[in-house]
Amino acid sequence: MGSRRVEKGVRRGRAFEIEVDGRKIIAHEGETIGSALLAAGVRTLRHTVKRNHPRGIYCGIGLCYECAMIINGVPNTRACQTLATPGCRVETQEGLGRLEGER
Amino acid sequence: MGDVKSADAVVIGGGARGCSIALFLARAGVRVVLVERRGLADMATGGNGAQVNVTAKEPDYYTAMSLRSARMYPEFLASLDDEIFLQQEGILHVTTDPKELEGFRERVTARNEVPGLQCTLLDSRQAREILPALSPEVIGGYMSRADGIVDVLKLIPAVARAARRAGSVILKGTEVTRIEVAGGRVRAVVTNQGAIATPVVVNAAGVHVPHIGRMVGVSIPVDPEHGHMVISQPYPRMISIPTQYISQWPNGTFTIGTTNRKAGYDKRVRPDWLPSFLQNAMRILPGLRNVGILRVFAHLRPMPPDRLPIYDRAPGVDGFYIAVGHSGITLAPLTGKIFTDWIVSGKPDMDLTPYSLNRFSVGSRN
Amino acid sequence: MKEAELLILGSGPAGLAAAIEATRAGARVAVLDENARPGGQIYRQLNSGFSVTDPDVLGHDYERGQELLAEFGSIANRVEYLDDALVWDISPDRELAFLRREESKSLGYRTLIIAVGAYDRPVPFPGWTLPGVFTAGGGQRLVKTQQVLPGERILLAGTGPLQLAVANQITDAGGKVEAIVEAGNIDSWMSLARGAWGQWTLIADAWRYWSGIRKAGIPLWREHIIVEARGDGRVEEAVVARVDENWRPVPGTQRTLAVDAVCVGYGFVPSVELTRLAGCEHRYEPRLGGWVPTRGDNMETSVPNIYAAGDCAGVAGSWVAIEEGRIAGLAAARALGYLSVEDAARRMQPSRERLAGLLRLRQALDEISVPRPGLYELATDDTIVCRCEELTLGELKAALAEDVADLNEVKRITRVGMGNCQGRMCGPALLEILARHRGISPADITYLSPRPPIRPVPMAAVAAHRGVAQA
Repeated sequence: MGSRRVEKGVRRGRAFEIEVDGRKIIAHEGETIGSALLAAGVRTLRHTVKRNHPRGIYCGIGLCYECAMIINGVPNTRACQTLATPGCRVETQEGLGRLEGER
Repeated sequence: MGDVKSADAVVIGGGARGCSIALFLARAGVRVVLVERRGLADMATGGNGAQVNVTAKEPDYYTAMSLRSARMYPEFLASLDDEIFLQQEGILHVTTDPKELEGFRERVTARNEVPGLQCTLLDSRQAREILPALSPEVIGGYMSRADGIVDVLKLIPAVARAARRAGSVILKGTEVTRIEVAGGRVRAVVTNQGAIATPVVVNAAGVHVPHIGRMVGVSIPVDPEHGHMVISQPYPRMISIPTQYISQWPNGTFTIGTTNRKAGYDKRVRPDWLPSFLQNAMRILPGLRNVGILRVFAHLRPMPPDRLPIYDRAPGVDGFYIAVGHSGITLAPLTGKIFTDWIVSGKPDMDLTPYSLNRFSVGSRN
Repeated sequence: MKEAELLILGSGPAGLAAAIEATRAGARVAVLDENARPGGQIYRQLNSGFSVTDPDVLGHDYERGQELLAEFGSIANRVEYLDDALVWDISPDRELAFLRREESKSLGYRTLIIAVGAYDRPVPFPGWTLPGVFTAGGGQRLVKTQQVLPGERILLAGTGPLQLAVANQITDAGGKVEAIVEAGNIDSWMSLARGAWGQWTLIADAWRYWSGIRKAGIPLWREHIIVEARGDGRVEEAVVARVDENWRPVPGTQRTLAVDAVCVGYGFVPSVELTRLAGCEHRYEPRLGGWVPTRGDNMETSVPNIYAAGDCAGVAGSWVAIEEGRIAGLAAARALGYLSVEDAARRMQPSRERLAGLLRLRQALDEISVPRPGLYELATDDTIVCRCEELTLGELKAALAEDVADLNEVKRITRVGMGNCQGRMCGPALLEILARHRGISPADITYLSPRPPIRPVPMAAVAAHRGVAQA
C-alpha cells in the first residue's frame, strides 16, 4: 500500500539494509534514502518544531528541506539528496533533532 | 502623509534608538512623528548579534551606562504587547590563549569596580561546566549575568506598536530631504512625502547621522564599520548561553559575528573575510563543524571615532538632538529615557559630557 | 584554476548548448554544475546502480537529452568540467565562491553564462504540507530517476504539459493516475493548436501524451483545480473543484477523490538568486514565471560579461533553453574575440529561427498556464504559507496590517523566508499576498534581498574558504 518501486524496464543495483528508527529496511545502490523510505511505505520523515506536524518529501530536488532527517547522527540532512549506503542510520527528526550521543 | 503636518518632535530613523525614543516621547505625551526611510530595523538594528552587552564596554562610565540600560530591559519588555525573548544569564567570554586570560583577569577587576556589576573569572573546568560543548582548548573565561541577548526582530515592531498606541505616528518609506532652520532653531522636516513643522528633531539615523547632520550644517563624525553576521540552519541545543559572539536561539539557529573593518557604505559580503572568525568560532565550539550556514550578510555599525555614543544637541541649532552610536540594542531603553527627559524637562537624567559632540573638536556650524 | 575565460553555471540544456557552441568557436570553457552528472533536471541521468532494460521507460526527453549529451561529449575533453560544484556567492568583481567535495573556493571569470534553471512553483492550499503532496517536478524525479512511484493512487493537479508527461511516465512505469486536473480551459487550447503549427515534433509529443492518457483511461478534467488535500498525517483524499476563467472555484462543484499522492504542477519559478546577487537588473514577467533578468538579443544581462540562458531567465522549456544556450555561447565567444561579428551572427541564425517558432508556441502555452488570481486565493487563514517557519496566511496578514514597507520588513517581523528553504517555497506566494493586500502589482514590490550563500553550505567549508589568491 502506498509507494512502490517500478519494476518495468529497469534493473536495480545490489540491495542492502539500512536502519530506520531502529528497524531494518531494504535499499538499493543508487537510491536516495528518501526513495528507499517511500518504497518501504514511510512518508513522514520529520515532525516540525513549532506545531509537531508531519512532513515528508515535497520538492524532491533538495531545495525545500522538508525531508530533513537525522542521518548517521547528523540532523538537518536531506533524505532526498542523500544516497543510501549499507548500514546507514536514519532517524525521523523530531523538531530540531538531537545531537549524537544524546537521548 | 495624510494629515501629519506638524509635530512636537520628529525622530529620524526607525532603528532601536529611534523607535525607543519615539515610544518614550509618546508615553510622555509628546506628539511625536518617527520618519523612517524604508522599513523599521532596516540597517544595523536589523542585522546585529542582538546582544545586551555590559561587560564588553569601557571605560567604566560607559560600562555603568550600559549596565543601567540592561537593568531596564525586563520592565521595558513587560510594557510591550508581545512576549519578547530576553535572556540575561551572561555571555561567556572564553579564550585559548594564556596572555588573553591575563587580560581577562584585569578586565574582570576593572568591571567589578563598576557599582552593581558582578563579573566572575572562570577557569577551564568552570567554563566547561557552564557550556559542556566548549572545546578542551579553552583555558578559561569570564562572565557576568548582566550580559544577555534579546530577540531584536520581534522587539522593534513591538516597540513601534506600543509607540503608536501611545500616540506616536510612524511613517515608513519616508525619506528626509531637507531640514528647515530659521532664527537658529529647527522649524520643519521636509520629506519625500511632504513637510512636518516641528521645533525638535532627533537625529537617530544610524550610519546616515552625518548626512542628516549636514542638513543643518553640523558635522558629526560617524563612520560605517562593516561587520558580518552568519546565521546557521536550525540545530539541536548545543549552548545554553552565548559565548563570544556565538548565540544559539530558541529556534535552534546560531548567529555568529563578527568582523570589524572599514569598507565605506558597501554592505557586500566578503567571503575572504569569513574564515578567520568562523575558525575561531569552530575552535571554541567544535560542534559547529556539522552546522550549515543559511545566510550571511553584513551590517554597517555607526561608529564614532572613540567607539562611544554621541548623545548631544547640535551647537547653534536649537532643537536638534543627536542620538547615535553602535550598541543601540543594549542602550535602547535608557536612550529613550535620556532624550525624553531632555526634550520634555530640559535636561537628561545623567551627565552626558563623555558623549558630547565637541569632544572631537568638530561639530561646529560650518 | 584561478580564473575561467568563459565560465558556465549549470549543465542542463542551456548550459550544455552554450558550452558546445563556445568550445567549437575556440573559447576555453569551464562548466560548474551541482550534480554528479550533466543533464540538469530534464535530462537527469540515472544514478549508478540502476540499469535500463527497456529504453522506452526513460521517455523521449531522455532520448533528446542523450543527443545533446553526445554532442557535448564530442567536445568534452576541451572543457574544464567541475561536477558536484555548488556556487554559493557571486560578487561584482567577477568572482564567485563555490563548494565542491566539502571545499569552498573562489574562482574568477572573464565572462559568465548563468544557466541554473528553475524550480517548481510552490502554491499554498489547505493540506499542501501533508506527506504525500509532492511537486510535479519532484514526482517526476522520483519516477524517472529513482524509479519509485509516489503512490498507488496518484492525482496530478496543476496546469501545462508537464502533467501530461508525468502521467504517461507513471502509467508506463506501471503506476495508476486517478485523474489529471488542469486549471486551463478549452478556448486557450485552440489558440495553442495555432501556436503549435510548425512544431511537428512537439505536436507528436503532445499527441503521444494525449493518447497515452486516453488509453490508460485517465480522466482529464479541464478547468479544475485542487482546493484541498486531506488525511490523517498523510494524503488520503483530495478535493477538486471547477474553476472560472480566473481560476476561482465555482461554488457547488467540489468533488472528493480517494488518493494517496498528489503531484502539483503550476509551472516553474526561475532561479534568479545568482543574477540578483550579481546585480543584474530584473523585471517582473508573470508569463515567464515571475522575476527574470532583463536581457538583450544575445542573452546578455545588464551586467557586462554576464549572460543568462534557459529557464533561469524566463521559463520556456528545454527546447528554448537549448537555442538560448547556443546564442549565449556564441555571443560570449564573440565577446572574447574568438568569432567575428559576422561569423557569430551566421552561427546564431538557425537558433534564432528555431526560437522564433518556439516562442509562438510558448506564448500560446503561457496563455493557458500563466497563474490566474484564484491560484493565490486557495489558502485560508489556517493554511501554512511559510513551511519552514510554520507561518499561516492569517499570521502573515496580521503582520501586513502593521503597514510594512517591503518584503524585507515582513521577513524581519514574521521570520518568513528565514528558514532552510531560504525563501524559495514561500517567496512567490508572499509576493502575491502582499500585492493583493496593497492593491498593487507584484512588480512594484521590492523582493526579498538576495543573500549568500544562495544554498546552505557547511560552516566547516566556509571556515576554510580559499580566495582567488590562495585557490
